[in-house]
Amino acid sequence: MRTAWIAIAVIGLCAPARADDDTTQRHLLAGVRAFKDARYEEALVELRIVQHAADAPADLAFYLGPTLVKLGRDREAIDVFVTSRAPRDALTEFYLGEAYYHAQLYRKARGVFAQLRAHGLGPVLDDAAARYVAAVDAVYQAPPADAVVDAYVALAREAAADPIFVGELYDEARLIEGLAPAHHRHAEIVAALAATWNAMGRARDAIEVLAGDGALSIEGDWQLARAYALVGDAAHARPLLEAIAARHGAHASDAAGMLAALPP
Amino acid sequence: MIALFAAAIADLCGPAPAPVAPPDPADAARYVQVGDEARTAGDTRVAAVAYRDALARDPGNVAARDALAALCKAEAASPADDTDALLGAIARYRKGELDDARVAFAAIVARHGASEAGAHLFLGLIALAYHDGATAIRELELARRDPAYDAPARAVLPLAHRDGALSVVLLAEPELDTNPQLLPDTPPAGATTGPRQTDEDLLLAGTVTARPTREVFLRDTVTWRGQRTLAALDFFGENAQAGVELGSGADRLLLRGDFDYDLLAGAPYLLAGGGRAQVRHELGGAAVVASYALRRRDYQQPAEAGFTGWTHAGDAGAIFHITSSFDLDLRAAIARELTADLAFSDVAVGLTAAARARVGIGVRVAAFASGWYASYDGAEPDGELRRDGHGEAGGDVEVDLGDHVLATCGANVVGNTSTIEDFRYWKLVVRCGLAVAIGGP
Repeated sequence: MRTAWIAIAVIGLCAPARADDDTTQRHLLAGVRAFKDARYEEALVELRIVQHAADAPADLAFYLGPTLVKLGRDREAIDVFVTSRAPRDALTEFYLGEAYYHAQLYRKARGVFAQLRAHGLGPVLDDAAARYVAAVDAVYQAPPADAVVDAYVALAREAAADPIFVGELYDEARLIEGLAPAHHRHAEIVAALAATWNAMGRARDAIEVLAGDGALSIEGDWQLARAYALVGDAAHARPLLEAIAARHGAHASDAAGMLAALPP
Repeated sequence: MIALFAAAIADLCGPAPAPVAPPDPADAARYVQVGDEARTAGDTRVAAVAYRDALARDPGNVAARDALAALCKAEAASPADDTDALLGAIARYRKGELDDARVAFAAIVARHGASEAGAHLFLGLIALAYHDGATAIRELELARRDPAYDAPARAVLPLAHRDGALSVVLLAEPELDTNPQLLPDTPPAGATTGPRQTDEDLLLAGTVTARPTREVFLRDTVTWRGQRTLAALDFFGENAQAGVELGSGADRLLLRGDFDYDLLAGAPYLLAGGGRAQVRHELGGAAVVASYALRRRDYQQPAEAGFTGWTHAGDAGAIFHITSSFDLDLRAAIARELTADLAFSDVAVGLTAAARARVGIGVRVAAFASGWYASYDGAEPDGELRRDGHGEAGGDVEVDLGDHVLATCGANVVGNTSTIEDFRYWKLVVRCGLAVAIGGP
């Protein structure tokens, strides 16, 4: 579907929309036309109709995310991008970077733009990405204050109703905390991040963050064990769960139960 | 979150949309579904767009028509967005209504909208105005998260690190002085003791300020000026102050008492004390200000005894906030000096102008110019009445070298013309130094 986007856009601009049997395709085309005409609210309405359709394309995020970014609805856009299972491309990533930036997740934005530049962008997008990277780097020339980390943790706690964004906030806090010369709430942040990602089915991301981290709390150990168990890696999950169960402390009974459920 | 997008929909409440041919009630129902979901989520603009799309495909769709009518009826109650709230809070800040502004900025922060970083910046500035260094640092660091506010926050962050319930400033500043005989806080004694003589000196100063409450401050400043060659002019000054700063809305009142004890070449030179009251009313782009000071000076050496007496000084004017980083202070001043020797009692009227500006990050510039005309009460021994014209100008540059270290350079020039030749003089001081400033908690 996505590979045809440019063609759809071009055709959509040239050909009048007409009713036909392919309702989903018609609304998708109308959405693309509206987006190209900068009528983003109309584009969103059309794409919402597509979203409800049984034959909605798997890569709807490719259309829906940028539309939300254009409407300034960055948190929703991030939710759409992050939960999309379709492979991302440079343009989608660029919009994700902008959504992060506008949502004040500056380190996340910097990561996206820097990676895009490393992979190669056209001159216009590369120039824009370079400006975003430079703007964030200017802010973080000096180590971040503890108050900044605290603020993101507080935001994450307040955003509990939006678990996807909670994960993004904790990840931003983790990235900022990583720039500080000394740990500040590190164990708490990575444990909360992993708990959020485990709950969202992003156990592999949780493992990537926690594995090899020598400063984990008991909660961090528990979330790492859960993550291994969730991805079916019993070999790594078992020793962690055994250690947690043996401590007879927090999560000991949960660990014992999970151990019993692990495949041999 | 979506409620933040409950923006105005007046443009969607006009005439019914042009119908799309042929009508398609089934398709209209899909738009109504999207509209209902958006409306439930508080996403009124998208809901209105969807309902209009539905009506375009099915002009008889009652659900779409009623829902759009309900949205448009509620339009008048649409809340303003964060930008308007931020602008409103800034207007209060500029009018000096700091407490009200702080409440408004805090509300913006609580909403975590697009204006949050801007609100943090102003909360930092308000904390700085209240000498709450720790809060100022936290708020300014939070503002810095947004690159748009990084530069203005960084410009004032060092000041926050130097302020607090207890602050200390230490200064070391070599000076070149073309006329060190003109001592601080004295009539031009040097003009009567011999020709001026240029000398270098080292100025060392230390100031400790304690603020037990937001309104009350206690300050002590010790100054030592050691001359390179004119040791008889080595000067030690002790100045103690106690005051209160009271504020209500746009009005500020400063009451301050102070005491001075100075030594010259190790010998008692001056005992002085007095008080000052200043009122200030912020208008937004400017503030009107007026002050009155009463001071008693008791010179300890016979040579200066004739200058002992009371001084009344008053001024009134306005401070114009030309930009957020540039203030211009213009005042008219009047002073009455009553001295033991009538020949030194005078009435002076004059004008002062001062400018303060932040130039880029970590650089501040201050400049002033003043001039006055003085008429003396008593005749000189030869019967001539003394009339003086006096002018002063100066400027200082401060450059932050770190949160607690700054470099300073400045120059002052003073000129006095008089009907009496003994009181015609000029003086130039050029100085550069380093200061360490620490504040907390």
